[in-house]
Amino acid sequence: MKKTDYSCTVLLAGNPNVGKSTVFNALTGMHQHTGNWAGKTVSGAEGFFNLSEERIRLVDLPGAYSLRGGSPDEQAASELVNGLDYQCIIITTDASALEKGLPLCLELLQHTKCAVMCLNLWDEAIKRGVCIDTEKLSDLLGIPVVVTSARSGKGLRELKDTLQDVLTKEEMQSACVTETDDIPEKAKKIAAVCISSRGNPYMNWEQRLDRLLTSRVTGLPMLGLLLAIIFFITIAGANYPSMWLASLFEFIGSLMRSWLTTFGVHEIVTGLLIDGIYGTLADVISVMLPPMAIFFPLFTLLEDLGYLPRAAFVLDPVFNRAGSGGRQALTMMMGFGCNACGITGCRIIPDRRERLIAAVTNNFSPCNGRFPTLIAVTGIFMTAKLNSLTGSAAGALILAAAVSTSIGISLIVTRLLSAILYKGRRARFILELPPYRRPQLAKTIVRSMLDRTVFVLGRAAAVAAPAGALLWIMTNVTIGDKSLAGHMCALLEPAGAVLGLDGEILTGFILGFPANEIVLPITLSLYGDGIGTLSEILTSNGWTIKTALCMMAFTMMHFPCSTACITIKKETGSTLWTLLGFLIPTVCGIVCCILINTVFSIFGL
Amino acid sequence: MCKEISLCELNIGQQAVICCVGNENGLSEGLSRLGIAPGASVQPLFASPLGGLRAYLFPSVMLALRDEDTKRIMVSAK
Repeated sequence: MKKTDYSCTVLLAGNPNVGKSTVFNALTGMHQHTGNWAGKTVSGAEGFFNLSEERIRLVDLPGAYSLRGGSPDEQAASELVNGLDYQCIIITTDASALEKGLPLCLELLQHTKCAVMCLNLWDEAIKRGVCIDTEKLSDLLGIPVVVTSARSGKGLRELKDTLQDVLTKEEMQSACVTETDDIPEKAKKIAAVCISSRGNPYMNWEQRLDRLLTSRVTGLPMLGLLLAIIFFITIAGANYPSMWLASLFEFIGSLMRSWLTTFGVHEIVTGLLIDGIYGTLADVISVMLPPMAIFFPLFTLLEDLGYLPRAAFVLDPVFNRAGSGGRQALTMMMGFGCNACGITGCRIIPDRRERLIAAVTNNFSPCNGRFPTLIAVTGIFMTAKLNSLTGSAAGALILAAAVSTSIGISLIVTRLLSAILYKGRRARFILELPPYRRPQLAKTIVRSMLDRTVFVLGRAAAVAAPAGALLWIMTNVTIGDKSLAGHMCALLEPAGAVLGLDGEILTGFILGFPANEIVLPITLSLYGDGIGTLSEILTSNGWTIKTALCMMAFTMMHFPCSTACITIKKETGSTLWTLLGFLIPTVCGIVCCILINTVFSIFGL
Repeated sequence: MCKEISLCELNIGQQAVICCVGNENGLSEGLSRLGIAPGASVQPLFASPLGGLRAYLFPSVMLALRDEDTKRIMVSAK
């Protein structure tokens, strides 16, 4: 973005859960882009809007309670405030939670006098019976105060007008807060003067909803139910779109192939381009895009609703025993969608050591890319003899059992790592349970779907295209009597046998390092041109129930894909931890496979 | 007359005022960032189904805190 494209920069700051994103989206519309993987605002999303004749650049800071806090979000916010060249700050606060937002506000006012306070969620505050003297507040803070309900678009005009006034004002009011002030004290004093009524902070309907979602009787079942619904919608809903995309890509692929041949392009180039690069691209997109475009919007809806902290609340005791905290449960859930996103999501964990542990164990959550493999293997070997309905139910149960085992092992590993890293001392656990909010259904879904699509396409281009090229070379370049890939299979056969698998499968996993979706397709292509159903091809290549079990175990517990590995390095900044993230699930997978293999051998199966 | 008990001993639904917060693990620092300090009101709301932590209502924020942390927060019941 050229500097001349905007005339000044305005920062948008505030606590988490105050509707800051809604204000941001309302001001900038679609003229924005997020600068990160997971869609959580951590590295300043920026957008643009017009103020009379001027073009304003609005930088959305990560939600923070304080600039001096230790969490990654807060550090990022602090860095941006100190490092960026800006003209004004819009401080967004939840009108029902002014007291909570004042510390950050005062810290920001230590940096600049040019600011506007935006009291958002005003309509909600009125419903609660909250009473704030905004004039007194404005006097005490020394900045203008605007009330808004960004969801319904109210107050945004006033916000823009006030921003205009503040930006053009020559002299500022004197600072209301100095370097040496005790901010918590001052915040308390200001709140005491300006808030004449806190209203009802916890309404009846909120109590009832909390009781439903967290009571002893219904809490856990509701969590299970919600997760089951999300998984069901994701898997069932992605089925047809994946098939359509695959057919579409197939059609386009054959068109391109015939064009290239018509233009006399050499067979090798066509092969490399169409079969190798395009083929893998098509595979990756048709497998990953539909489930990602369903799972993450659903997950984001739960987040906007305010449910996710309740899920962490319900699961924290389990994770506490494992030496971690309830937030890790949320990162594991994100990992079911995509491990790279789950690892980025570890930013919600304030304690550094817990964050590292969560990042390196995230791969125990099988991502959307691995589900088709798991489902195919379950379907073929475990439930093939059952009829359709019982088969589906049994398949779901087996899948659930398999995933639970993987999660259980991840908790054990977490416990071990925690014992090594912490030696008794544990981090504090403070989890905010925000008020329930009705999500803006359509906007959230559309925005999330677009985000996910961009992510999948970007990753496909960056990772799948080169992988496809490499794969084609490996399978088409021959040395002696076998292709390069064939040699690799032969080399890995002994290792495969130890794991209850075979050389083709291991080669599939290794060449599938860029993307889990292509592991099974690679393996199948290495088996050669088989005719018949998937079941027939696998069985004719020596697959048994033992192979299927080991395949499932290794699919769930092996090294993260290249994108996830890069993400671990980016998030942890440590090569050691990236190595651990690579090795830990792999070692667990190897041990599991050897165990299964041994058990089957003992019983002569 | 201030009869101090730890927050984890306070019954659900009972209102109290915070007297002091132990700062092991930076607990008091973490709470004061949210505007919670001695003098603030607190009320336990509900417990996690598996035990070990409860949800508390403070001025302008609802927080979940573990029993191992709340036993270091002293309050006086109203």
